[in-house]
Amino acid sequence: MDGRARRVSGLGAWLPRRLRAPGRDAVRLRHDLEKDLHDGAAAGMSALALELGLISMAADDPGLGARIDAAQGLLRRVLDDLRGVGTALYPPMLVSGGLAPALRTLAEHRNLRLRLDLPGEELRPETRSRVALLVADHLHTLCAGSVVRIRVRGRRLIRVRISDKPPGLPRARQHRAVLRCG
Amino acid sequence: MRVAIAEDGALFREGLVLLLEAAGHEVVGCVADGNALLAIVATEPVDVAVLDIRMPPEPDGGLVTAERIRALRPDTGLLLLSHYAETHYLMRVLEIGAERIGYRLKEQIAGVQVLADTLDRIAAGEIVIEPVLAKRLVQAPASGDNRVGALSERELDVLRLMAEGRANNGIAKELYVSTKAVEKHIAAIFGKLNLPGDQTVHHRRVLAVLAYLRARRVDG
Repeated sequence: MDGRARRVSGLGAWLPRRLRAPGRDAVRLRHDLEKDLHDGAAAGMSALALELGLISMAADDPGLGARIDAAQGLLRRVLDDLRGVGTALYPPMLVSGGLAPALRTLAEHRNLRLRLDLPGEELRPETRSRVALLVADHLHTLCAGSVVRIRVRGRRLIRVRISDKPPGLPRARQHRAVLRCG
Repeated sequence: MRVAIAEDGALFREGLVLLLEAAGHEVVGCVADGNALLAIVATEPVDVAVLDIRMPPEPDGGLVTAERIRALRPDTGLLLLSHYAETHYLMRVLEIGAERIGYRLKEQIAGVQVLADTLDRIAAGEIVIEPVLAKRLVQAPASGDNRVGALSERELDVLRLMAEGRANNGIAKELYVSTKAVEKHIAAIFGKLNLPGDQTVHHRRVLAVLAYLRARRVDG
């Protein structure tokens, strides 16, 4: 590759990249998986934590008490991991809060600085989920401290623009996606 | 203390009843949804109602029910439990009320002492906020505003405990210092962060701290 080709190739890194939104079936599957995780494994482990708390009350032996405390600590860490998996599958705030709270929550967890520019009118639930998962999947790839701008426009044809600037990089990277809805 | 519970997970609900009874509390009702809990609170005296946030009526039956209970029986304390510790839920909780209310992770109240401490603080009129969430808010990198960076190590500890909703004596106990020392640290924090509001009114102070911590990380 000669010098000009290298320069053109280098410029290409800054051109907008295309992102693909998950399909309707994938959105439904991810939603159901998060619900199963929440109502099944996570609920069971929270109940187990209570059970350990009760056993701890009855334990007279300090050595046994310490082992129960350690088991509870391990359980909390496992629950933390499950929360991370659940959030990556389908942000739980999307159901209760909508698009903006779901993305802000994710940005808070990943220490990203987020600027949102969303349509004034709430998107239809299915469209909202597809947009949220498209953006959320991208946010999961960014390093802490990145500044992210997200712009969503349209009703039937939704256009999503994401620009992200990781700390230390001279300029923002651009990403685009178009979703046909309805 | 007279406690009523609404939780749609049978295993957690039963475990919570056992733990509450072991801690010496009386469980006056134990149901699987918000509407049934509201019926109990309407007819029975209840000191604190414990509610799962994510339960029927879906999606956030616990928050809707807590709102109704607060309107019906303002003196009844509310403890909202969740699998997730999120700022969005915290803001919804604070919209319901800033006194006699708590929001905690389910697995974090799985011990007699911590459960008793949480319920006692709610019954005493405090706001109880999940420490995991308070810590995350305090540690968050600032979006241009770095006034938190000007706080000393000890002031950061006090700020985190204020964000948990702890009163001065609670902070003093936690840090093994006098309440006078805590008051001094709080005055310094309010000065450095340029926080408005009356530091002596507990719930206003907590709200001021939380509003500040939230604002420094919300950009858009």
